[in-house]
Amino acid sequence: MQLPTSLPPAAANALPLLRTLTLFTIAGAAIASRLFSVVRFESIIHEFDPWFNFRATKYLVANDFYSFLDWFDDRTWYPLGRVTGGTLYPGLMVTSALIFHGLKALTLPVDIRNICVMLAPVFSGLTAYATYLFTREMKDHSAGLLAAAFIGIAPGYISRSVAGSYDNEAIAITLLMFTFYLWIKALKLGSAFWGALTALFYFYMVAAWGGYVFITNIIPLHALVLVIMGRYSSRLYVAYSSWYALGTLASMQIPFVGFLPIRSSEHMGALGVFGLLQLVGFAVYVRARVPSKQFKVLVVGSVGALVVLGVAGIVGLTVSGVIAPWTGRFYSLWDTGYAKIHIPIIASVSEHQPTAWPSFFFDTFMLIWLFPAGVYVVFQELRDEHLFVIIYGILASYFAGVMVRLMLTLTPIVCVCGAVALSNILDIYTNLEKPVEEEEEKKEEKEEASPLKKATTSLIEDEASILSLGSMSKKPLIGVYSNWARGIVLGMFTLYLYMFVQHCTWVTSNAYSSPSVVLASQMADGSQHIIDDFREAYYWLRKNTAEDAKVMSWWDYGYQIGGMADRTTLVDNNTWNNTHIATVGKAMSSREEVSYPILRKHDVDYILVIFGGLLGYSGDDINKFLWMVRIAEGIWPEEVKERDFFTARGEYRVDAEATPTMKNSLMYKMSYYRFADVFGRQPAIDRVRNQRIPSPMQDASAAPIELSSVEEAFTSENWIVRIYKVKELDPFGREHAAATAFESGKKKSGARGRTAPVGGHAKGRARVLRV
Amino acid sequence: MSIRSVLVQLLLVIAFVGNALAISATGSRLLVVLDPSLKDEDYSLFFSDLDSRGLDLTIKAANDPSLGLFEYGERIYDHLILTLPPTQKALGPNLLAKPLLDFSAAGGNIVVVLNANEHALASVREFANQLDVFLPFRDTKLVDHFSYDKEASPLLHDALVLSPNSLLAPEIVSPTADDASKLLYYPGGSAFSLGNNQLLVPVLAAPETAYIYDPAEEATKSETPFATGSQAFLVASLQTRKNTRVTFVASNLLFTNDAFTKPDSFNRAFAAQLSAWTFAEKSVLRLESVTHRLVNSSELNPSIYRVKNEIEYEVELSRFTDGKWAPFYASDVQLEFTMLDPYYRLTLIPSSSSPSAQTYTTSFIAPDQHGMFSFVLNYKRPGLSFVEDKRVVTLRHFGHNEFARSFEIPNAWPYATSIFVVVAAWLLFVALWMFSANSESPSVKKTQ
Repeated sequence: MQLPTSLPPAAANALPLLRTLTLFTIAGAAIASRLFSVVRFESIIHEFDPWFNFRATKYLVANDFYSFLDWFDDRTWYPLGRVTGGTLYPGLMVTSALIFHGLKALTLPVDIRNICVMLAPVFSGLTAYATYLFTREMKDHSAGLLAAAFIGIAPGYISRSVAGSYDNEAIAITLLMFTFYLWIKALKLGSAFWGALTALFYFYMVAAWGGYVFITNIIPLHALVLVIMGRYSSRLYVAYSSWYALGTLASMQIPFVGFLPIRSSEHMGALGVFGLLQLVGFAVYVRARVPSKQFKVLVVGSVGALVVLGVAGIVGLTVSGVIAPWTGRFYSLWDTGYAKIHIPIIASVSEHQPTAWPSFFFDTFMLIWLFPAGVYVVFQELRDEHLFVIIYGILASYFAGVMVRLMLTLTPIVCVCGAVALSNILDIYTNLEKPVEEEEEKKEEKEEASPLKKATTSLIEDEASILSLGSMSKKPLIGVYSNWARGIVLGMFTLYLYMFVQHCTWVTSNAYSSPSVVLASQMADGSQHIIDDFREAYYWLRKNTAEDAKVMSWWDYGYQIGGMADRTTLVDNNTWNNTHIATVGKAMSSREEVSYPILRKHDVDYILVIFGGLLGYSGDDINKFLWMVRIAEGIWPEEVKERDFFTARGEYRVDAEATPTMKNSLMYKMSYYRFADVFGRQPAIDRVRNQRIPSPMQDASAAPIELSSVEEAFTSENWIVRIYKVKELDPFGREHAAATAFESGKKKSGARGRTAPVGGHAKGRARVLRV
Repeated sequence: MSIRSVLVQLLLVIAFVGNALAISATGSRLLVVLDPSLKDEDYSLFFSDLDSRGLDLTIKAANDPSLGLFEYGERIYDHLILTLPPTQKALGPNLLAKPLLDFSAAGGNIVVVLNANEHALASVREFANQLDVFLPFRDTKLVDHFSYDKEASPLLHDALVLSPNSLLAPEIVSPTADDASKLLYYPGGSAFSLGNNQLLVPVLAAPETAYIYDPAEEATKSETPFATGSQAFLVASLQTRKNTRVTFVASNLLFTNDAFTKPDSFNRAFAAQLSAWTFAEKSVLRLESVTHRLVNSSELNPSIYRVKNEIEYEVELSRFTDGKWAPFYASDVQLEFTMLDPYYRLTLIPSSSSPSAQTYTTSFIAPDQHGMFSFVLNYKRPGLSFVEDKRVVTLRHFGHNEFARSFEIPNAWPYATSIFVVVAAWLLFVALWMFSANSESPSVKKTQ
């Protein structure tokens, strides 16, 4: 971009420095605003998935890259195991390991945990820079700086990139923006070099996040729209072909991706557009050589036939099974009810739910209404790269509406469009030039001066001086040239920006900075009380159980048990085997007599349940219980029925009116075992569901909950985590229920009548031992 | 330190010597709890037999206040013979059902001998019920009007004479060929019935024509007998999952000197074999060692294998006979290689044997399925102690460098060739492009 010639040379030289400083400040702000959780709690890995990534990173750091690639994890999905090296996106772990080794080479030994915790904030700084570059291509430097500032603190992005949120998305958004920037650059320049760079970052993105499919489809879509609009150019051909060929080959090097780019429906669009571009390129080449009449015949004949052939080929290959059909996750993007009916495991994840409208405002604040304005602004100009913004904006809005987690992909484009719109407004209202008689001069002046003005004003934000400068005009001005109009508009937007920063800080601080491993609550005097039940329980497991003990829990806690307790789990958050999860669901939702053989078969030593009834922690297993039932019902519809867990009136209850199926389920028993004892003669109230648990002390008819095949091993301070040990088979061959009844002093029934119970001991028959 | 280690070694030596000399695999301390109504001397032959086998007998009256099975939580006897006194009070609190179960679970072996003339006590009845053994009601008698002892009970028909051939558990009591002609005297008493407990092994059942009746209530006929025919048992044993043994004997009269000395009596040998089995003097198996490894590898018991590895599995089994461990030979020992379900079930082949153990071995190619597999040895036969062993190993997938290289696969040659053809063709094309002079001027293109 040319600098305005009218600027004094000193100021012109200072501009790049100012921009650099601004970008550094933005990156600093982006990092700083993500540190709430570290300051408030400690440097700790958050939530669920990050714990797996952290564990994998530790493995990578402890071993070499090849053993990481070949890693067979025998501590998860017992007894199936997981080919972890081949079923993860290694980008995040490799990035951390490289940083770790790099710092070590610089004699700066940093704990790998701290690298993992701080990775997301650092990459958010880079995201700001990438967004700056991307937006600069769309408009100018000032819009770029604004976009960088927006993405730096927008809650929609912060939600996935606070310190400790060590997830794939932490680096993926950075790579997404870099890839898009490079694509725009390649398209603008028609350069194979930039196309190759795009492919390189695309490869990095594929290595880092499953959301790379978004890029795989949006770039071809952009190219397709350009072709349809008649904007085919050799620049597009070079950029797309070099990106696609190199990027696809590179992406196939990731073991988890493998041959998907040529075998799955999600990738067929890119391949199709690649073929189409070759055809169009060929057609353009031929048109340059052949008279137009013949050319038309040629086009209609050959190109048409080829397209028909190609489509028929893809359909045929899909039907015959060479190309994998669309996956359930893909269908659930179009039909929000699909997952709930067909794949409950996807629907059970809260972040896969459709987005509530307020969360758009919550996550992007004023940008959500600047976003359409920005799209409008780029529509005005509609260069090739502007089409990309429009396509991206439309697609991302739709997907963000379908799934909460895809809010993340919407946020960057909202920031870009918001910045373009706001920068446009600022351009107009901070232009101090008076309307000049010569139309042409004014136009030129405005075009050239705007970037500088905007840059300076947005930095200084001192509209008072602007006003005073404006008031020097002698003639009264009207419309946008009036100082009043300028003052009001600029004042409003300054206020909005101020509120935006306030809102973002508030949201980050209150909504997105909880590690969820550690909970905080307010005491009566306002001081903070830390609830650390999860770690208490996980460390109990780590210190008190055999190293090869198998722990069964609902899959949500699999990664945490693996990461914090270092014990073998049956299922975890990598929900690759629905049947195995359904098995756990069945064990949890069945009677003890049904569950026990399942537990034995899977060598389960301990069962871990999350119970929030005492404290009022609503994310507990009883609230998730229906999903266990539903997922189990999907596999064993005859044995587990969701209807049996609802009362006759269709209510989900845990109190005295709970159904017998509910009361006899292992999960219910383990959750409420001895719960009423805590309350003594007071009513035992479950504080999550606000229901009264039957208490034998209060009501003589209420039988205490008895567990026979498992025994309580540990209950954390606030009862959030309860761990039960699975008993061995009874040494005397009794049923567990009978053995427990005997232990608690009840006589065995039988042999009370006149005749003895008849056994199967026919004389001389060989006894078959089924033990 | 040295004193302590010497002490430990000394203890180990003592333990070893003690073990080597012991008649039983688990220990020789035997407690006999004698019902005060029974006379010691009536059983002198039985006790002297036990004593001569090397067991340290402690005979205590059931009402002895010092009677106890545990001291400071430790078991103080290895075996227990329990005869039943007439009243619960006389039994004392240390012989309730719970301590008896605890004793068995803690490694003790128990023989419960019912008193032919007394009813079973509630606590022992409860103990029996826990094991699915249902003791008869008071004053009931087992009678058989067809095979009764004509001399002993010509009228009541409650003394039976049984053939040793009718014994049901050869691992527990196995009459020799000579014994076949002898007689097993059952001089009176009741019988019990058994439930469905899988661990129970019936040793001696009543004849088909026998039944239990209550002489007090049912003088002439029995409408609802407690148990009839072969469903009434005189002797039954149970081996717990901890390999301890419990035997129920329906009548103390089986073991009296009278019964032992009757002509052609098999009772003495029967009592000896039954007590020997119960006190772990025979039919005790031990797993000496389990090893698995890659074929042609020296590393023992690795925790991880790869799919399609050839794995060798080896166990050593020994059997306790005549006070020492000897090789145990069987042709039906099997290994299961399981992950949820067995992928292999292989019969182990007896290979070499040492003086004290028999080695069984097999080898197989690991299935083409990664996961955590278990080597499961589950050898359970009635009367023999259970051998159970489970070792989990990981079966990993092929590493990235463990597949055959493309040039080793003939099928891949066309594809490999095509790569080089394309490279060559491209270079050729570039060369042609660069060196072929373009005679036409570029302006021709533009005009079109």
